[in-house]
Amino acid sequence: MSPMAEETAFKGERSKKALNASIEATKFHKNYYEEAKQRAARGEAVILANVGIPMEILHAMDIPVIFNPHWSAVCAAKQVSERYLTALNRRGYFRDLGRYCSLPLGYFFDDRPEDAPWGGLPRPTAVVMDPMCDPLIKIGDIMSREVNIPYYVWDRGMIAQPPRKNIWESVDDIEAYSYEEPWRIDFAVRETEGLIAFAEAVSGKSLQKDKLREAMDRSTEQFEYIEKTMDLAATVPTPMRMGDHMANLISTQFYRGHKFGLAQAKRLYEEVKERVEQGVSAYENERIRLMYSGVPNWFSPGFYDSFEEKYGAVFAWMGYLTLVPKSLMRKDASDPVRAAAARYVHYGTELQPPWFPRILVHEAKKFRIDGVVYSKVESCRYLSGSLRLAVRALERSGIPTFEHDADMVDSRDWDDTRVKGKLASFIETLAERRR
Amino acid sequence: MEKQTTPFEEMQRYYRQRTLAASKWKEAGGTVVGCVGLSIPEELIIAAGCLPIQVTGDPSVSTTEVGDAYMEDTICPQVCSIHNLLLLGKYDFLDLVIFPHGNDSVRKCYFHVWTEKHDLGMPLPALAVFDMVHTKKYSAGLYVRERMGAFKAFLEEFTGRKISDAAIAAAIEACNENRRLLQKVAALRREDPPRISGTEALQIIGASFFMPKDEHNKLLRTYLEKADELPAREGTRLFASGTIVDNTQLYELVEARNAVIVSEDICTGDRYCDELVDTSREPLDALVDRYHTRSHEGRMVPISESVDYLLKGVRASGAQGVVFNFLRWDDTHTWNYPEQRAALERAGIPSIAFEMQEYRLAGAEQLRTRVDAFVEMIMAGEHE
Repeated sequence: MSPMAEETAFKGERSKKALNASIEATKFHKNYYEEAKQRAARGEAVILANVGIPMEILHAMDIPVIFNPHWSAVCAAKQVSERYLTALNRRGYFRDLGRYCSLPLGYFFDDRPEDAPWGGLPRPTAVVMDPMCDPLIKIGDIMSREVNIPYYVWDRGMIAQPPRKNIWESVDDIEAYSYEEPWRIDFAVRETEGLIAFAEAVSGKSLQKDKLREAMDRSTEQFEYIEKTMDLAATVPTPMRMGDHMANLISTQFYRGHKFGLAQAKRLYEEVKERVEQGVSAYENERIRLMYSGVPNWFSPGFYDSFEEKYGAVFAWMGYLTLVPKSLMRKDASDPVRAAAARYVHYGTELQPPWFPRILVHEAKKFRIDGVVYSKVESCRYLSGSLRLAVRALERSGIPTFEHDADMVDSRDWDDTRVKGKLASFIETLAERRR
Repeated sequence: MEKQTTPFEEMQRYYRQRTLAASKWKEAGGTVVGCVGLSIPEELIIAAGCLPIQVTGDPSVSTTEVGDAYMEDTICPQVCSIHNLLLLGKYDFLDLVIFPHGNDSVRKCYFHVWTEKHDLGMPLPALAVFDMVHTKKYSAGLYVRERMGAFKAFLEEFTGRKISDAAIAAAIEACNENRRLLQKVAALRREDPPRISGTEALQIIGASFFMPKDEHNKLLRTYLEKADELPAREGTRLFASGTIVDNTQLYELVEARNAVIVSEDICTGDRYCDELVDTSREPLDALVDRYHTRSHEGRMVPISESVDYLLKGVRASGAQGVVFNFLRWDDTHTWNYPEQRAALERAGIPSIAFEMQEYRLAGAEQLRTRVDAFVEMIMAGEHE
């Protein structure tokens, strides 16, 4: 039996995409990996990193970056998550540990790149992680020793005083708040300078300040396009499908400050704008508008299309394109290192209270959502967000909620019929409510 | 005539009745500061004239009705319990609650409590953060030094009193004396046979978290004066590792199975007194050295430090085996575990792991069976 044949019997469903921009994004990313492998073969540095580090630095230095969660998503989509998670478990790591970010570690334990998705990863030159959640820095530590490469933790401090008012209403308020508690920014500046020195040492390249400023400006422009796109995406009926959200989060999660990131954001904006102007909707029969909170299901992305035909239920909102660019907007890049530090020192904080409940209520109202499907992933508590407070806030605002209990990459416990049946019942109650 | 309590019984009383000393302190007009975990420099709180006490959970109180309605239960259940007790008003007597920048669960709990206080208007004590980081590199040390200074300034503002160098020195000395005395307790556990059980040790050490240091030191001195009279403890020598232990359930279960827990690398056990504050250094530098540079928190990297620390503790205690106990959703120690277990194997030391454990001990019968089998296996190996 070939190793690939050992995998789970369940084969996920592919998602449908409404936008050409989504096809472009998917194509680009596969090519990027191929190019990274070719460059690594020529002796160039390739860094494996998490998404909560100032990635503009690496893009400005033209260092290919493999992002840990993206490789996890690719492996899940290619139905090999079980193989890599099992490799982890065989090394003694408990099954209940965070799977999304550890799956790539399982890939390195498995050590059979020849039959891995996309022909496997280039051998990274170094690992860079941030302490967004506890497992990440441990995974980076283990990975660096497994592959025998250097490791940099972009460390950061903790917010003492969350904002009293709802800063989500205004990008300027978000940016102003990001510079509060300047001691944390000062530390993040030192950590960012440390990251630059580390990247220079492992790549043999040097970073010019102007290049970093350009990358920071580029990502700001990219975020502005995405923000305008999300304003358009709130149109009823929705111009974007869930598959489009999933394909395009690639550019905002992995190509912040990269030329492709900006080009893709612009492409997305123009296509959505055209669709809205021409009244083209993403679904033929939109009746119920759903919001999806959490990391999407990467091993069966077509799951989100399953409720359209019978119920006219569509996922009009998914968090990444809204939450990440808006919370990272730092327009003033005159001191690009400080701007990068202020951008990433809060990365992921919007998943904590008081931010998360405030944001979900705001977005649900803006997108005229009928019901919220929130993903509770036991193995990835951090990315699930502060669910109970969010549910309370949503329900106080008259917006029904549904708990979707499933892992984003691990298909081992997935029962397709049961999960779809449960969500269908919720949608039926929403339909009843509308009547 | 009323029977006079022994020093151990007194310490046990403070461990069990955790608000006892705080109530007395408050009655005398004092300020009580709650600390979530043991990474907060209590020396500065004492120097500020306040009584620091640990904010712990309570496995006998269900979180279902209140806490779980506001915070998901997929974080460390001990922290869920703390959150629940805060919402239930059990810690209303505290003048201030300080959260360290600890693991994800502690951080999440802080943001929840902050939101419940400020956005939902719940009557909760004043809140503060003592920020730390996750690495020990040069920049991290500088940052923690800055935050140590800021923490002192914050306490001065909070109490309205300047903290003098002499007060810090006195507080460091009281805490160091406490650690020295607890190290003697640890040495008695390491004797062959041990003179103190792990369950007793947890209470002796733990009393320090809920009462003034000088009073605890006095009790410890009296207790240690009669150390020669302490009975020998029979059983297989085990070392405990894993998630925080803020109650005696697990130790009682293990020690009822022909075993004695002779040490642990847990913050509420021997780790509490492992390192003294270096009095030859500038006081705030010395606190950074103690609470950051020489700390052995499982959440930090590199993992190799936690492996070395465990092995050192196991060897020093002469333990014959290691019991790992991980509460549900412990995302720090569980990532260290496979390398710790492998290092123990290389050293010829057997181990057993209880994973995804409930805070209120569940499945006790199964645990007993597993402990029995583990102890039997060790004994069989010893007799081969």
